[in-house]
Amino acid sequence: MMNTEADEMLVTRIAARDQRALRILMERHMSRALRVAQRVLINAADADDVGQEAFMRVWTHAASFDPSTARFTTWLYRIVLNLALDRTRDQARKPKHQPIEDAADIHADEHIAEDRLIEMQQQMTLTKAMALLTDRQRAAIALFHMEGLSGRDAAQVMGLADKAFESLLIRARSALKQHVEQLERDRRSCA
Amino acid sequence: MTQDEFVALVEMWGADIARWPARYQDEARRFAETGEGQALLDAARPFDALFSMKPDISKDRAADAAFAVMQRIAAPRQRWTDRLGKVWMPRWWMPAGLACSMLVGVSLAVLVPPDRNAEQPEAVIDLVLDSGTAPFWSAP
Repeated sequence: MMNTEADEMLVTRIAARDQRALRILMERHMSRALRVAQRVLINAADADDVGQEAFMRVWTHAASFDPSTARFTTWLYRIVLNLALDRTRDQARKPKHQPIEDAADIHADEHIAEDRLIEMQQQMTLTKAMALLTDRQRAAIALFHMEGLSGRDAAQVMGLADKAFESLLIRARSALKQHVEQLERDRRSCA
Repeated sequence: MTQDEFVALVEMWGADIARWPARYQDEARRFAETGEGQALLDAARPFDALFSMKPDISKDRAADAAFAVMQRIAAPRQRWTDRLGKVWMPRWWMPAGLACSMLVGVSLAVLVPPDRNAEQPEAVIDLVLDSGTAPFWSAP
């Protein structure tokens, strides 16, 4: 039977050390946490670590969650985003080993439908273009466009004023558009 | 709303007016009904579609991550039982036990008087078992 209990109620149960409540919350929101983390971090393994750590924080800090100030998803997004941005800062201090070009190469397969190939190609272009943005620009795009948060909610998650978020979003969209167009030009010239 | 304002809002929020801040929506919808407004929205839609492509997260991957969290939550309990085990059976118990055994052996060797019949097994057993009760100064 599907559990229809509100997220906020489940967090109250988690604060009382109810593991089943945590399991239900993870079933509902783990994909979302991984998706946002992966958009910011690019790397899937790093995103998995962040997703897990985020729910460990939910488990250990459930008592500090106040449903009167934010929805659970807003709180979760904020945890995921803070962990992801911390990790990108740590990674910035270390040498990079894996260029993004190696991460998402698509090998044409005659069995893959053409539509799917085009979609994969677009996905790869987007991934590469996203990698060229700053961490905060990536986060703004992920929250507003991919997760569908309102501008105000996304600003709240990022700890920004509405105007600051608007300005971040327009810079992010503009930069992403330029990178995508450039990558498309490069691809066509190589083909 | 002027065209420039409309363009700026499309560039900021994308082609879906319903997702714009509420304060702009009424005016924007009126402008969108014009030919140029419609053309601007149509031009922005392909990029919006690209922006909203999400990384593919499989159900198995999410389930694996959730399972790993449950394991991490269970792990402290395991460590707690390990610690309890160390209280009852500390690491030094084996060398300490050997040292005590040696001490007892040396003490017995020093304290128990030699017996001429010690080569005989029965005498050795009698000596060990009865040495606690036999006075050391008794006559041979």
